[in-house]
Amino acid sequence: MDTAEPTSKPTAQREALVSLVLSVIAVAAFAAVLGLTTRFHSWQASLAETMRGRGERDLQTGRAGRAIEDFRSALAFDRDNSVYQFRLAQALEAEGRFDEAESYLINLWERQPQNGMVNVQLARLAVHRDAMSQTLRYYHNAIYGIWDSQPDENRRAARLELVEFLLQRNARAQVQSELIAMQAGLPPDPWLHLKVAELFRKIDDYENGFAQFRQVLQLDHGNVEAAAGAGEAAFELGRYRTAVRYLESAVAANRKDEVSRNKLNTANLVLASNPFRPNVSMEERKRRVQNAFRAASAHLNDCIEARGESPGHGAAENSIEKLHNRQTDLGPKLRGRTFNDPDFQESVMDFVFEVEEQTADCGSPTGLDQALVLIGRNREGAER
Amino acid sequence: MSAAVSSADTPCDTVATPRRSLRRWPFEFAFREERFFLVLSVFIGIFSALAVVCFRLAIDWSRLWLLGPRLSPSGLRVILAPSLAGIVVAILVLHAFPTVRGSGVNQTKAALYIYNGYIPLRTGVGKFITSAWAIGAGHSLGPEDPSLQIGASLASALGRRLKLSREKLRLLAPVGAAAGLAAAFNAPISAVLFVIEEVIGRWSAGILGSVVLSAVSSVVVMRWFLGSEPMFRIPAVQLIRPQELLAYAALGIVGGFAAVIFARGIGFLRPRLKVLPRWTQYLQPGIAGLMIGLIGYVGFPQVMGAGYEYIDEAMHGQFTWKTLAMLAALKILATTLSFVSGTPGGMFAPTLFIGAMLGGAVGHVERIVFPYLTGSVGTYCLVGMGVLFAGFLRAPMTSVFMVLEVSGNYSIIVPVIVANTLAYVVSRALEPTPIFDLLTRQDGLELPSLEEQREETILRVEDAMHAPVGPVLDSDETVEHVNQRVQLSSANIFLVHLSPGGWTTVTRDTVARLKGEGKGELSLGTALPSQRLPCLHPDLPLEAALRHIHESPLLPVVHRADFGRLEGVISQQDVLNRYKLVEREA
Repeated sequence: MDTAEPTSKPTAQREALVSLVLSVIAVAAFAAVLGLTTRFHSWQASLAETMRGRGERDLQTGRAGRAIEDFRSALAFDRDNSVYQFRLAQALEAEGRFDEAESYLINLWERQPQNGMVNVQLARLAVHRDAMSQTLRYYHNAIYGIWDSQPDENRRAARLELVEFLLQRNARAQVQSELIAMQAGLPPDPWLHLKVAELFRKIDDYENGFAQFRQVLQLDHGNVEAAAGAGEAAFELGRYRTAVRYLESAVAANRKDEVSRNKLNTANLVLASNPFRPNVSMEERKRRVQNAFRAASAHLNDCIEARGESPGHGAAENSIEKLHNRQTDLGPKLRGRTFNDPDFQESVMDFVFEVEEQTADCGSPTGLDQALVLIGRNREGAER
Repeated sequence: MSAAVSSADTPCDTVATPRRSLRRWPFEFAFREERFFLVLSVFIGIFSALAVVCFRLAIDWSRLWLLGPRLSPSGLRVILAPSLAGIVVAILVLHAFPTVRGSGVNQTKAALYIYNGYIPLRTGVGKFITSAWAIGAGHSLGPEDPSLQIGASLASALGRRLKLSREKLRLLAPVGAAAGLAAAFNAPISAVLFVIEEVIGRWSAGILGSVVLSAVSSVVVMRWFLGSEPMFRIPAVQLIRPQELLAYAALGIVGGFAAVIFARGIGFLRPRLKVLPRWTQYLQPGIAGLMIGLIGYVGFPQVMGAGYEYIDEAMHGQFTWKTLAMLAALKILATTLSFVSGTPGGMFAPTLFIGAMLGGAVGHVERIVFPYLTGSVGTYCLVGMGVLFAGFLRAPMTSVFMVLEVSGNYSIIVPVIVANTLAYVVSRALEPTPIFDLLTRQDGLELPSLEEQREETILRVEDAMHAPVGPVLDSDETVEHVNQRVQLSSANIFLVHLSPGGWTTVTRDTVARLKGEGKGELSLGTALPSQRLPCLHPDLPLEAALRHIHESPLLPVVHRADFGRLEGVISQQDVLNRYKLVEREA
């Protein structure tokens, strides 16, 4: 092998010249390699897109295993591509490989902690792990995060997912706060209002639910579900006249809606049986009180019979026995002059409500009994 | 250059450790060449990086062309591509590029120590083509060692073109090697350390600046084209309880054994295949490729090529421990087959692959047995890479920094140091010769090794010095008084402590002569010709004494903090006796 001999000692001029020549060569080589790499990378990018396309198709057709391989191949060409990483994470999640999916997502999250899509995906994985605090954190990151497209829609969708998660955990207060935050920014979309109204109804927030159902009806007058929902909400709120109005339209539009029909009947019965309604004449009130007393007495007797107890032979401490004694005491007075006394009417109705409450374990009240229960509850609520 | 300093404040000519000689040229010439060499190192870094970028593209292109765009190739292609590519590579190696066999590390080292830094450009070109083709086709080899040789080859060619001195030309090879490796690894510190540990084979301050400059400039250029992301996505790494270091220690021991198996496999097969008839060398890479293709065909395509993607996957827990263990074992087999067949390509990437898989497998098992362990599988993979690097390549310092650099995570340093040290110790105990030294010796060469240097007993001045035989004289004493003291001693030569500082010697005859000349009343310092001796210190290497011993039959060994305090004396005979003693002990 040859060996080089030292033949030259550098001088300042020579060094400068050599440095200049080397700089020129370096710039030229740099440009050449830049051109080469640009072309090569664009070729790789097209291959990556091809692999990604295959992956998308595989994912859509449920072949998550193949999609994983496709997305991995795409990532081999462009390993920092967040879209490929995200889709790979989704494919891994679809395949049930949650830990692997999470590692990719965490990697993405570290780069873009405000990325809405990544946070939602991480939240879903946290849901799978039943990690409450992480789920809330990621969902809230997504709700207040950055979305590349349709930010409002995506944020709403993320919040709805969060609400579903909280509903499963029966975290009603949190659901309510999320829904209240959500309803403020809802666009005039009946479907969305209906969805939110249904969710309010699920957590027994009928006040907000009713408002949302009404909103739906304002946007879509013929929306039967909204009418039924508004009727039910009004019913639960004790606004029976309003409930009747909505339930009638719901039943008229959908005659098979038995739930609304039953509620309508009950609401009508409540309206027809409530002696405390304003604008009810004295005679009518007396009639209603008498009807209520008769119904309650019959319910009480049925209950005593069902329990196998003979009236007048029970212990004095027994509440049913006490009620029976009160019934015996009140019965004759209903035909006397004292019946005109509003206080007496009040005490009769107190007896009625107490009977309906105490006999609840003798079977679900129906018909007039159910109406009396509702009237009683409504009255208690008003007093409270 | 010896640092000869003499002044009133410096009472003694001190002797420093040896440094490079500048005697050839006047100082300004030497300084200018040093400066130019540094500038040249930057250009070498740039050119090497550009070459390595092209090399990486060539590998990717070959892979796409031969194995297709899917990450896990399938079908007959997976068998045919490495087999046929192996045959093509064999033809190229045997007929066009006969010097490109192997990884390239040894060849670069040989260029430095045997061929005065000469590496033909043809070697670099051949390495580029054959390695890219082989790795792209799925041979279980990596691009780092070839990149190292490509960089060294470019540097050597540039040095020759510029007609640099032999000394500089010799140093250019490691400078280029560091640049090539840094670009391939995206890790400048590891590249510098590896070149020092494995190519230069000794710590040399003279070249360190150039190596660092070339490595840094190379990495900067490479990142311009290929990005600056770490090679792997590193999962969360943590060491919560110090007791968990035991788990990493166990990994270090397992890795040490695996490294020995790997090294012995190569060490055993390589010479046996080399001595087979020449015609078989046309087939050896092809057969190796066929076997690797079969491994890929039966379900383990991960062992094909460098395998970085799969290291990444292993780090993120995407394999079971059984798969990881299987991949580690098959990669050892595949890499051994590729390497011993003479296919050009490097061992860095396979070493990292095996280490990662082994680490992952051990980590998995440990977590099953001890569920309270908090380290993720990814952490074990990461530590495993360093473990095998330390155990197989026997570059312990590089192994630590390599893990830190490729991961970009410094929180793992303690487990890495513990595991790597154990792997290194186990490997060294079971296999005394490091793999690169073994390959060098199989090629009939004997090159310096940093590991051997570390093992060597370093003789120091304190090992050979002894107390002065005669009295130590003072230059303020009169010649008459000195003569009386000399007469009482049997020694012929005496140390004289000069005033205000420094040492010299005087012989019995000189003292007698001065007295005979009527200088008995004069002080010895006045009567003696002024000649200060160089002073040695006990901790200096013995060779430092040897280089100055000709100036006087006796040299003083003084305390570093007090040059007037004599620790002992040393003579040429003392030095020679010490060396003879060492030889006898050996």
